[in-house]
Amino acid sequence: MNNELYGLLGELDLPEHSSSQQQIDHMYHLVMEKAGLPHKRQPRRPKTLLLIAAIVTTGLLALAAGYFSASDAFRGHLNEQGAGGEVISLSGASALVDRSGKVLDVSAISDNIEISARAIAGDDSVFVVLFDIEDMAGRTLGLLQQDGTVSKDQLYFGKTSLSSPAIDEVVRGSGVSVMDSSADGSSGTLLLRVEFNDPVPMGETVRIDLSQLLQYADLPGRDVGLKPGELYSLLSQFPEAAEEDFRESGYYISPDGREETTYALEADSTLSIPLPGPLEGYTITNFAVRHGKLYLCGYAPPDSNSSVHLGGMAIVNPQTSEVWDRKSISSSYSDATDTMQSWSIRFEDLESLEQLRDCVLYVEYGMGMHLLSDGAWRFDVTLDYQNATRYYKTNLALDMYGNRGAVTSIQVSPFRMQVVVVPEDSGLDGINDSMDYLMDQPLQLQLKDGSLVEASSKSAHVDFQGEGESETVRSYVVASALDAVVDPDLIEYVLLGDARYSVQ
Amino acid sequence: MEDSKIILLMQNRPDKGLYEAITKYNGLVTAVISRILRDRQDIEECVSDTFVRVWQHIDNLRSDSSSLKGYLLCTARTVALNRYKQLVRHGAVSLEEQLTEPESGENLEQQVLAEEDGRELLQAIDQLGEPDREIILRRYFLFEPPGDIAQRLGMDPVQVKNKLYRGKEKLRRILTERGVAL
Repeated sequence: MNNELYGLLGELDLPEHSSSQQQIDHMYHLVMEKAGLPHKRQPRRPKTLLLIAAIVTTGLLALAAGYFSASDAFRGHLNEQGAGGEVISLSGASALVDRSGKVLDVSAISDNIEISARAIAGDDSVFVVLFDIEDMAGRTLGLLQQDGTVSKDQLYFGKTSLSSPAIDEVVRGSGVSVMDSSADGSSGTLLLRVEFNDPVPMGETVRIDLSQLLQYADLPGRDVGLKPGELYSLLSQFPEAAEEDFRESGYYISPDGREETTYALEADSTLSIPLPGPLEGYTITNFAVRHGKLYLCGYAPPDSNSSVHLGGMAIVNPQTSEVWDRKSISSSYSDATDTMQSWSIRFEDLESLEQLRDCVLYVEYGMGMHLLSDGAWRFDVTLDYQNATRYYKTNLALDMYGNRGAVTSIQVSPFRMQVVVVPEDSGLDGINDSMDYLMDQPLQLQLKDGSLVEASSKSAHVDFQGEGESETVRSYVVASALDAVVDPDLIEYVLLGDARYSVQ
Repeated sequence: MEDSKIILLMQNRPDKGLYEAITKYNGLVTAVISRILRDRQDIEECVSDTFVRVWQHIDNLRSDSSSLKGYLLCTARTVALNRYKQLVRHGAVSLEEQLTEPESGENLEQQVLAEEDGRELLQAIDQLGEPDREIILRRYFLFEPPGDIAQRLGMDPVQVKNKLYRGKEKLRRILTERGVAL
């Protein structure tokens, strides 16, 4: 039977669901750990895929259009990735946790960076820990921008885990964000939020392990130092490349599902153009044009083990602000050291070299993930904070697509909210419509200043009573994690669709 | 990479085979599981469990088979449903609308899980003809929302819902005639 089902499902034409290279690598690591198989990072083709995936997932629109508008503050795919919501927003959380949380006094030092757990607050399924962070060596905790200021608004930990005897498996923190930082950038405040599926094991001492201080930067790009016309002049010196000048470097799955082979040009030239900023250490050593494609090739720094930085390259016309985005990136790696040796970037749809007469090569300064410190910090924290949840009883009428019901209780904490809806008719017939209604309606908080706090994710489940044929619906429970940390004193209404309940 | 090559790799070079399988199917498996579970960590756990289980049972698949995708989808579905049931028992579950049809979808699922009747059911589904067969499979085996199915097949959502209703009735008839009670 199973083989028949596999066959039936296997025949279905299902849409492509692309994963970023980061997601693939992460899943691969998890799977290999679970399978108990020895593994190492897959170094070659995945590197190509890494950038292809990044391009596909974050720059598809730009690729489809071929050209898109650019400005001095060019935002390529790396900066888009940084701004893409990977780091949760916890605006206002620092002061709230400081004011209402339980004081902690635990610190750890690694890589000359001291991190101190200052306070903890939470409810019965989420807790947050406020950390002070200080670089004891006086370095800046962030990336230096071109204007000399330090960008440090999206700092977070690459790895967070939490374990205790009461928890079956390791729980991962969902995000850390910089709340505040000193003028010189050597210290700041960060917040870790941990969410549980099961109730928080109150009273337990949990171990929190943090490592890899990372940053999503949001920095402008700049050209590589070639004046307008110089790129064109250089390219004009190179004749159309011959087939034998290329080697197959890998392949990738194109957005339409086809396997495509990538080719790289052997980097063999007297050119040596250093790249700036995040690509410092990389050099361009060769150009080639073939069949309407432009290849830029070069060498990577000796210690380079990631080609992600190369994703932030584009050819830009400063007069028209048109950007010609790269199509694919190939890299070759040393078998012995697993470090990148040479790289090649391909641009497509080159009508003629004239197209590039006024263009310059542009390097994006932003990075998807910039490793500021590879340190490891460990804290043992007892979860005995005061549950910040506020409970309200109400009787707010709802018409759930023809099924009448009432919101009977509301729970709000700084981190999440939950409403319980009891149907008038507890029979099973109305489940679908009621659930549809509850999932369709936005669940929001309206603050005293009139602003709305959205929910990052909403879930609903049915609480049944009775068994078998006598089974009925006791209630529907709708819960939501908040996009921000909210002071309950500032909340005026809880909104479920058109229904609103005052919590004052 | 073709599925047959991935199967061969998984049998002989698990590290490379799993990498290829994850590269090709991580998104699809995640999408299927996300229709059953909401919590990101649950989804991640189930996706990784799916690949591990498929690797553990990869010898059940022939290398010339093209059913790796189906095998992964079935496994993903089973793993996610098991997790879902576990969450229900603990009262901590995000119930997706697709699972709120106990009178229809879950009965179908139970039939599939019961080996003998499941074979009958699949044969009955195969008899439905297109597009009913595909609609039933997408809805009750992959939990695709009717709207998505309609979009995929270029149909009106109401038409899809009607076909689901009539498809189930037709399945009941076929199975009743064969002496299998739904």
